Amino acid sequence: MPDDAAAVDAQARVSLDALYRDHFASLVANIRRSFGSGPPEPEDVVQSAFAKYAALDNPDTVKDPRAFLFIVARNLVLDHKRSRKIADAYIAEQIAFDRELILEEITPERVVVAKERFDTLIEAMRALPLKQQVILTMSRLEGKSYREIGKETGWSAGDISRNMNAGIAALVIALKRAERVKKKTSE
Amino acid sequence: MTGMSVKTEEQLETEAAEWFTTIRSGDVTRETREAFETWLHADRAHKLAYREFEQVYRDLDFVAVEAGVDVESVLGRRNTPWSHLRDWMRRPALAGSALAAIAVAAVSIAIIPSLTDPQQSTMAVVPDFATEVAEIREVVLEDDTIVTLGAKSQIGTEFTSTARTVTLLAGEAFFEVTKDPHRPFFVSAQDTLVRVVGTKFDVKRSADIVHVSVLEGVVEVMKPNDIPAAIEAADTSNIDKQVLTAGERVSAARRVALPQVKQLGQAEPGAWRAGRLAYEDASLAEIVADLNRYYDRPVRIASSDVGDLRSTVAFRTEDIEQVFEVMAAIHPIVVERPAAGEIVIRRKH
Repeated sequence: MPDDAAAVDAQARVSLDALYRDHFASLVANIRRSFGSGPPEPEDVVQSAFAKYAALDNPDTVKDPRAFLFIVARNLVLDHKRSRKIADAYIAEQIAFDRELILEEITPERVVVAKERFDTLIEAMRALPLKQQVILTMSRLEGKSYREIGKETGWSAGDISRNMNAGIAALVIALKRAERVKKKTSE
Repeated sequence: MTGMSVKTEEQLETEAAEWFTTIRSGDVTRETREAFETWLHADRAHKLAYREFEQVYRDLDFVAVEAGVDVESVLGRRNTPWSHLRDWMRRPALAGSALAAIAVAAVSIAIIPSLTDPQQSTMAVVPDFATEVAEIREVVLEDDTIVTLGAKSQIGTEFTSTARTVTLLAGEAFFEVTKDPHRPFFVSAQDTLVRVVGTKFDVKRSADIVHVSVLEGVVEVMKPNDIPAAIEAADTSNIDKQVLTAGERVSAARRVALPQVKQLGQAEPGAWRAGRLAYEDASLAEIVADLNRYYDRPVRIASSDVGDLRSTVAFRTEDIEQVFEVMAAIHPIVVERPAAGEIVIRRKH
């Protein structure tokens, strides 16, 4: 029925408008806080995230639209960092001979499916010394080399390297421990 | 049993963590990368162990944000109206510099008109593309080279079967040059000639000075006696030149030999394309020349000693109003800003 279709369309538009009104500004603020003022401009990436959301076949199936929008926007910012993309591609290529070892991206779906993994990692991250948290974040999210981190913080390259090592190892170990606990309780 | 010594899980973890920390340092030599590959492919157990670290690292994209890691506040990147400028000044100047070989080329060239001699078209080239005050435009040339034209800028182009030539007649342009080994790409500005080997670079004409800065790739900057002849001969081997690679800049004054190449610190070539103007140890004359291209009110420097004052500053083109206050705070100058008409910068008495 064309009337029904038009009604569904109109409804979808209303909910998109509402979503935009409710979340646009806070998503922009969030992206700016995490990644700075760009480029790319936070407003632009959030705008693009909304466009991606609007282009979905079934936006209704997205349980948490805000989380979806945030992850899409964040991936757009990260894509922008070319140096990081090349480093990622290099390592993926080294590992990818083996299908089982393919590295997974952050997607809205995966955040839901692998919720336990992420909860463990978030908790472990919060438990790290602040310096390790900062170094891991600057390296990954800001795409900075140790040299660049050193320039901004005054920490020596050796110190940064040691903290990076200790921080990532603590996260990996926390995951393994969580998996062991899970296995034991299910036995 | 293969006879290979079997490593414990802890040993594998330690090795993988060490390799991870090395490979993700952001500065890896080829030798290191080869050693890494040798280790990684030696044993599937190595790969499995390494993958854990790599996957956790990638998951930081989500985890660091959710954990609420606030680098800004830990490092005291304060939240003042200028903080976005400071953030930007602190950003890695050239995150891609190590990757220059992969990309084509990007260079920025700019000319600032002289205070004394504003009209100085050295060659009879008709502009093919021109922008108005505060307009930035991207044009694609016939070889797919992308030129971003700064505000109030003009370029002329000439493409032949042996050479591609762009003449910067005024202002500033950023070039992303496509590779064509059979047709070198030249940019001429005043008496300076830039030969591009395939690069991203910026050229600016300013106060009788031509600035060339390189984002990616390699360019040669020279001052041939006869620019058209040098282009036609397609041979620049006998001309004195400065070779610039990523992160370098040269500022060539007119009728003077080329100065030394300078390292760019934080001012990323071509940042103006995103509405940011950044200067390192730049003269007020250079900065004001740019303001006149981006600001709708004319700005004039009252005397040349004021034009020689140097500063390191960055701002967004929409924040130009505030720049006058900053300048007046750091230099012994007064900025006269009548309600309408020309803004004049004078020495404070």
